[in-house]
Amino acid sequence: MSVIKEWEPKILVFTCNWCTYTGADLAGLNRMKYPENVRLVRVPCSSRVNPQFILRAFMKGCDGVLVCGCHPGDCHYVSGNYFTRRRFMLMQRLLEYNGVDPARFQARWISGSEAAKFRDTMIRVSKEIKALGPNTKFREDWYVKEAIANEPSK
Amino acid sequence: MSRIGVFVCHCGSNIASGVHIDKVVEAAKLFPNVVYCEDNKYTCSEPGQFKIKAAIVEHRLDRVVVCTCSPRMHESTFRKMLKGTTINPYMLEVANLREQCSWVHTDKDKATDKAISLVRMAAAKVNENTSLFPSKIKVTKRALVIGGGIAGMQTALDIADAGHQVTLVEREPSIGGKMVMLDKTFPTMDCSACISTPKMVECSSHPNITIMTSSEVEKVDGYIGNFQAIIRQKARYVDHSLCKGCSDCMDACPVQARNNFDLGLGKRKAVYTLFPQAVPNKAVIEKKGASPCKFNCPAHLDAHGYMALTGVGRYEEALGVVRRTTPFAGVLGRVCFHPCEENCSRNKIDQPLAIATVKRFLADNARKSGKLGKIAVTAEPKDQKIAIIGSGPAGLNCAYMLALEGYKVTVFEALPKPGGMLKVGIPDYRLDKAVLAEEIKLIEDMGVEIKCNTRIGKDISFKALRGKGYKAFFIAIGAHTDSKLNVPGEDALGVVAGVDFLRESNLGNNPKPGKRVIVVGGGNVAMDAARTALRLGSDVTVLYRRSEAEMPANALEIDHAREEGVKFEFLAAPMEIISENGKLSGVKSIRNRLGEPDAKGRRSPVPIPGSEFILGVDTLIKAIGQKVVQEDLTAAGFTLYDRWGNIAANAETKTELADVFAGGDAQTGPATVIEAIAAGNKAAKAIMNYLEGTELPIEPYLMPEATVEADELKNVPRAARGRMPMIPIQDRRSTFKEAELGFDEKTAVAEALRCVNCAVCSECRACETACQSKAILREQEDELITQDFGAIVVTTGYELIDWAPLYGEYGGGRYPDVITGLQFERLVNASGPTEGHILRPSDQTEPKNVVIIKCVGSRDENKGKAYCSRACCMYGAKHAHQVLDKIPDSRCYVFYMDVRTAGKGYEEFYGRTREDGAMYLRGRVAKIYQEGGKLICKGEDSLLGKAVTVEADMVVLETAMVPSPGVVKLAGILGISTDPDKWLNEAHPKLRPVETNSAGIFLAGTCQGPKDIPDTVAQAGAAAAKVSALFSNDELETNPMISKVIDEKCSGCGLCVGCCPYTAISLQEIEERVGALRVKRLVASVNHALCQGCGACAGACRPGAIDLQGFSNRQLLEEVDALCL
Amino acid sequence: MSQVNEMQAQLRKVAAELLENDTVGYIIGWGATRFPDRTTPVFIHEAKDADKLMWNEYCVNGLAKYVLDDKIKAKKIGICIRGCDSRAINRLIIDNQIKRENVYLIGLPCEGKADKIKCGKCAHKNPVIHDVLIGDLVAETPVTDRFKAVEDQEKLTSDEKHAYWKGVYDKCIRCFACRNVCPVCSCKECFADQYRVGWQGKQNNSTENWNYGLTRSYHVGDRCVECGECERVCPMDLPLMLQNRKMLKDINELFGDYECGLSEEDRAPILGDYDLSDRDEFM
Repeated sequence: MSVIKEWEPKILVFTCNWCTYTGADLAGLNRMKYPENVRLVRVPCSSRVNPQFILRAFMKGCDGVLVCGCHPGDCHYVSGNYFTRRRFMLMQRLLEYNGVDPARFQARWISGSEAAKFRDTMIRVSKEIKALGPNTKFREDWYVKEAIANEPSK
Repeated sequence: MSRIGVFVCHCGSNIASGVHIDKVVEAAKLFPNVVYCEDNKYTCSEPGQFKIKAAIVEHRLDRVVVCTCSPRMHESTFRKMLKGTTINPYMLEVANLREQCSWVHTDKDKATDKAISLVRMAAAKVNENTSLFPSKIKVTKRALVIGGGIAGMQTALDIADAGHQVTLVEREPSIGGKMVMLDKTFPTMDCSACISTPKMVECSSHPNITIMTSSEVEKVDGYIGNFQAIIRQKARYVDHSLCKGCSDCMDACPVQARNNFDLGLGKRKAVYTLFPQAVPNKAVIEKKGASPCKFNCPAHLDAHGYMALTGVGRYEEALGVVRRTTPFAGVLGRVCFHPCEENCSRNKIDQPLAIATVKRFLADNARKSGKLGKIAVTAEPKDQKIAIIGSGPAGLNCAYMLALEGYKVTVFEALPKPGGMLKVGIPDYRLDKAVLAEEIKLIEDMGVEIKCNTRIGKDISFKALRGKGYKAFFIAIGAHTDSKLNVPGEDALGVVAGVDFLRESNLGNNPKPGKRVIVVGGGNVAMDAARTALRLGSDVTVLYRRSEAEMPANALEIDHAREEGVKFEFLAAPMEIISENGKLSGVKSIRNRLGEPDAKGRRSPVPIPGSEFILGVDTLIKAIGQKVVQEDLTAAGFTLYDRWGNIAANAETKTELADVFAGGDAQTGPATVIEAIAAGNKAAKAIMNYLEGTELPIEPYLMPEATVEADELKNVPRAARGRMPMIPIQDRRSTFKEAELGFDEKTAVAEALRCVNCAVCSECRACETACQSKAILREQEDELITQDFGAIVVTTGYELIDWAPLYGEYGGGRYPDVITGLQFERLVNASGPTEGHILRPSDQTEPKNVVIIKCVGSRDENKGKAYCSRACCMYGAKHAHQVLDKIPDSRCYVFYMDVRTAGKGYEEFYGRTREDGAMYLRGRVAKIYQEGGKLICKGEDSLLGKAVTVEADMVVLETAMVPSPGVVKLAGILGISTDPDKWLNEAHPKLRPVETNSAGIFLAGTCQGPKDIPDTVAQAGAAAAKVSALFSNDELETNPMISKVIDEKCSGCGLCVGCCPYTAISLQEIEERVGALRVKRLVASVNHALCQGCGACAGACRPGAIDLQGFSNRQLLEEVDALCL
Repeated sequence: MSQVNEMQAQLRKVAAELLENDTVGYIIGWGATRFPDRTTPVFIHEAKDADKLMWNEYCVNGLAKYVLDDKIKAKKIGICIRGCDSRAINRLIIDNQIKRENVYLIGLPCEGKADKIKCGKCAHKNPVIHDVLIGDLVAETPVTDRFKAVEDQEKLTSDEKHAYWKGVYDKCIRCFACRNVCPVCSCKECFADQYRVGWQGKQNNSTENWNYGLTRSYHVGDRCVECGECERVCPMDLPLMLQNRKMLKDINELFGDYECGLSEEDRAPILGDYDLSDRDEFM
C-alpha cells in the first residue's frame, strides 16, 4: 500500500551530550543538510546507553540504530566511551549472529567539532538502511500496525 | 495521570520557516497526557516565558515540553523559569526543532513529520520525569597547598588574601622551592631571591596561612569541599616554638654534611637551616638513625659523636661524650674488641675507622695534658645507699652511673685491688694498670666508696648490709674460677687455671711457670696466659682442639702471640695428664679432625684413633672457660642460679629478689668488657627504677641503624686506616710494657676525619649544650596531623633529570667540572658555596672557556625524555650571559638543537646574549673527556656540517625537568592521574588547565609540565581563583541528575563500581528482613558529591538496579518507543 | 563403576563426619528418586541421613545455585561440587553473592555424566576449588570443539540465521527455567520480571522471546561458566549454549583467552572493565 511506496526508514541515533549532540547542533548552525529520517536521543555519555535499548528499538520497528560518542581519550567523563566500545563490539556481533544485518546497528565516534562527519555519517547510514528496506526481523508487527496508523503524514 | 503542556516555538522564522508549526501543535494535542499545547513567537523571551507560567496555572500542568532550539542553549533558561512555578525544574524536556530539524532539512513536510516525532519523544520522556532536588554539601573553607615553591606560595597567598585559611605543606625544612636556588631570572635579570624571599616572608606572616615544613601528605579521604588529610610532620629534633634561629647550634656542630641546597657543591652542618633566608628560620637536625658504630656497641657508646668532635680537635668534649656512658675511655681504648669497628661503613670501601684507638688517644691525651680532670656530679645528692658486690667493669660502671645520679654507692671487692678482670685478668702489656687506677680514681672522686679485701659471704652478707640500710644490691662478681678439663690426673701439681695464673701475675706475685708451658684453650684468656708465660721466660705452646679458624680469641691477639713466639698445636686435645710422684711431667694428647658443623655451625673436633702423642711440660695452664664462684654468694644467702651456674637474672638484670640485681660475667658467663659495662649501666637504670618507682627504659635511647650502602660512598676519597705504633718486638717478648703505643694527635684527627657520618647527626649533643633556649629535642618523633580541607592544590614542582647514568659520553658524573644548570645557579649565586664567584668545583679556579649544552635529557627520546623542557633555552642564554659578564675575557659556547624564545622580551634577551659574544653552535656534543685540566668537548656544527672540538674549563648541562620524586605516590593518595612522563594530568588541556578530574583538587606550576616562572605564577593565580570561587559559597549544590541505587534490586555484584571513573560508587552493607531475621548484605551506594552523572553504571547494570536520574531507563525506553511510532 | 561406588562410600563417610563435628549446617548433594536413572538434589541435615547421598553417572543437576536460597547462612553450607559447579561457586564468590567461608566444598572429580550434551564440551572435569576431595583427580581432556557449533552457525547468511533463531524463539515458552537454574543469573530481580520498567513485554511471541533470550545471553555472556544447565533444563530443548558460547567466543577473540570462574580472584568481568588497547572499530 501507499505507505510502502513512500517508505522512509526510522533511524535512532543515541548521541553523547558533549560531543555528537554538540556536533549535530553545529551542523544545524552551519545549515548542513541530512535526511529527515534520523532522530537523535540525547544521553549524557555513550556509556549510558544500555544495549537493551537497541533490542527495544528493533522490536518496536526501528530500522537502524546508531550509537555515537566521543573519540577514545576525549570522553567528557574520562573513560565512559571505553566501556561503550566493549559493550557494542559484543552487542553488534551478537545481533549479527542472530540475523540482524550489521548495517542496521552501528557505532561511531563523532566529536563536537565534526559537524561534517556527523552529516556525512547520517547521510551514509540512512542510505544504507534505506537500501536494506524495513527491518522486519524480530519486529512486533501488531505494534508497527499502530505505528502506521499513527503515521501523521496522511 | 500527568498533565503535560507542550509549547512550540517559532523562533522568529527559524523554526517556522522549516516546519509547519500548526501541524505540530495539532498533532501534539493528540499525544497521551498532553492537556495543553500552544505556539509562541519567541518562547525564550520574557513574554514567552510568561505565557508558559500562565498556562501552567491555568491548565494545572505538572510537566512541560518546550519545542525550541537546542537544549544546550536554553534548557537552563527554562529550568530557571520553572523555579518560579509550582513545577519542579526537572519536569522539563526540550525538543530540538531548530538545530536538529528546521535548519538541517529542506523538505518542509518531512521536517514537520520529524518535528512531530521529536515532540512525541519529548512528551513520552517527560511523562516519566520525576521531581529532582539538588542535595547540598557543606564546604570546609580551608585549602591545602602541597609544595612550598613559588607556585605553592603564590597560590597560598592568593587564597589567603581572598580571606580563606590555607595550610602550606612543604617537604623541605623551608619554603621557597627551586626559585630561591636561582641567582637571576631571565629576561629581566632581577635577583631571584630578591623577588621570591619577600613572598616567603609574606607567607609566614600572613594570618591566614599555616606553614608546615618538613612535612608530607600521608593520606587523603573525602571529596570536594570535604577532604580529610593526614599530614606527617617529620621529626626535626628542634622545638620550633623555642628555636630563635640563632646559629649557635650550627657553630657547635662538628659534622660536615653534604649541602643539598647547594647540590653537593658545598658543606653544611648536621644541624642547619636550608639557606640563610629560610622560612621558617629555625634549625633542623638531619638524623638518619643511629650510626652503625653506636648501634652495634653493646653499651651504645656515641662513637660517631666523639669521632666527629675529635675530627675538629675538640678532645675534651669528645672525652665527655665517652664519659656519658663510661669513665673507662682509656681502658676500653686499649682492651675493647670494638664491635663498632667491625660494623663501620668504611668496611664497604676500604678499612674501618680505628675507633677504639681514637678513644684511647682522647684518654691518653687528657692524661698527658693533665686534663683528665674530675667528673662533676650535677644531680641532687640522694640518701639511698646502694651496695655493689664486685669492682669489675660491670660493678664500677654501675657505681659510676648511680653516682652521677647522686646516690651513695659502696663497692665491695674481695681482692686487695679494685678492677676485677680489668685488674687481674688482663695483663699489663695490654693495659697499663696506671690507666685503670686513674680511671677508677675518677669514680672514687665522685664519692663512690670502694672496700677491697671484703669478700661477700665471708666478711659481709646481704642481711647485714640490709641492716646497714642498703636499699639495693648489684652482684657483679664476674667469673673467676676455671672449667675443668675432665681428664685423668688433672689435679696434679703444676696444672693451673688460666685465670688464677693471670691473677697471680697481675697482682705482682710473679709466678714461675718453668721452662715448658702448655696452654690448653683458644680463647682470649688462653692468649693472655700464653703471652704472659712467654714474658716470664717460658717456652709456650698453645694446644687447641679445633683449627685456627675456629679460635674464639681475637685475631689480633693471635697474631701478636705468634709474633712474640708462642707456638700453636692445632687440632690437638689433652687425653691424660702424666705426672711422676705427684709432679706434672707431660701431657698425653690426641690429634683431631674437624667433624660436621654443629647447630651453631661450629665444626666439632673428632679424635683420630692411634694419633696419640706426648708432650713434656712443666706447667699446664687450663684456659677453656671460666665459671662463677658460687660458694661465697651461697654463704651470703643468695642461691639463684641458672642451669649454666650463672646468676639467674633477666635481661633487665633483675633477680627474683626485688632489691638484688646482677650483671656482667656473673650473669652472662665470660664475656667482653664493653658488655660488662653495658650490663652495669642497665643495672644502674634498673636500680633507679626500683628505688624511685619509675619505669624509665633500661636500654639507652636508640634509633634504627643508619646503614650506608657502598655505592653511596663511591665518591668518598679512599684513605688507609691509621697504623698502630708498637714497642720493639724484643721488649714485647721480655717485658710487660704496653705493647701498643696509641695514636699521636695528628694520626688520631686524620683517623677521625675518615668518618663518613652514616647517620649525619653524630649525637655528640654539642648543640644541646650550645643552645641557650634548650630547643634541641634529641628523641623527637614524627607526628601525624589530621585536618579537614575544602580544596587541595598540588604544586609539587620539578626535579632535574639524573643525567649521569644516561650520558656516559659526558663523563657520567665522573668529571667534577661538568655541572648542571642548577649547580651553576648556586655557583654564580652570591649566597652560594663560592659567594658568587664562578669557580671550578675541582680546583676552585676561574674557568675561561665555558661550554653550555642544551637539551640534555630532553627532546632526546632514546636517552631521556621526548618533550621540550621549555625553560632551558632561556636560562641557557642567561648562563652564557652571566659567564661573559662575570669572567673577563672568557669565551662561552652554547650547543643547541633549536633556540625557543617564546615569551615577552625573551627573543631580545637571546639577541643580547649573542651580542655579548656567546657562540651558538647548532648540534649535540657527542663526547666529553678530560685532558690535563681541560674538558675536551667533541661535537658538530650541523649548520656548517663539520666537526667542532672545544677545550672547555667547565661544562654546564641544561638538563631536562622531570616531575619531583614521589609525585606518583602523591597522585595515588589523591586519586588523580599522571601522564606517561609522570606529569600530573589536567582535566582538559585547553579549557581546564588547573583542574584535575577529581573535583576540588587543582594543579599549578611545573607539577603539570615544564614551564617557566611567569607561567607558573599565572597558573598559581588561576588555581587560587578556582579555589576562592569554590569557597565563595557555604554549601555546594550537587547536580541532581546523578545515579541512584534501588537497594532491593541491587545484588551487590559490584559491576558498577569498576565502571565509575570518579570512585563515586562503593559497596555498603545494608540490613534486610528475611522471615523473622535481619540479615546484612552488600549493595552499591552512590556518593552524590562525587557522581558526575555520566551513567556508565546504569548502562552496565543488568537488572537496572542503579539508574541515572533524568536519563532513567524508563525515560529512555519511552523515548525509544515514541520514536518508533 | 566400582571406582564410583568407592567414591560414593567415601562421600557418605565424609558427609557424616562433617555433620557430626558440626563443620556444616547441612549438605547439598544428589539423592535417589523412584527412577534408577535419575537423581534429585537433596539437602542432608543429619549424619544419619548421610547414606542418602548418591554419586553415580546420573548426578547431572548443577547444585551451586542452591546456596543463594540460603539467605541467612547461619552455618557453613556443605555442597558437592564437580568441575562445573566449582566454577559456578567461584563465579558467585567473584560476584559477591557468597563468601568463601560460607561454603564447605566437597570436590568430586567427574568423568562426565549421562547427559552428553551438558558434559560434551567439559574442559574442567576436576573441581578447580575444594575443601575436601573425594576420590582421585581425573585426567582432563582438552576441548577442541568449544566453538565449533558457533562457527558453523556464523557461516549462515543473515536471513538463514534469522530463520534459525526465529524457529528457536517461536518454540520458547518463556518458563524462565534457564534463568532460574543458571548459577550466574544472580540478580535480585531479573530484568525480565520488570514489566513496569518495560524491559520485557508480557506477550509470548517470538519477538519478546528473542528480546529475553538475547538479553539473557548478553547478561550471562561475560560470566558464563559453561555448565550447560540452561540447555539441560529447557523443556523445549532450545540450543541455549549456542547463544551463550557466541558471546564467549567473541570475548576470547577480542579480549584474550577467557574462561570464567577458574579462580576466586578472576579477572574483572569483561563488561565492567576496559583496556586502552582494546580494538577500535567505531572510528
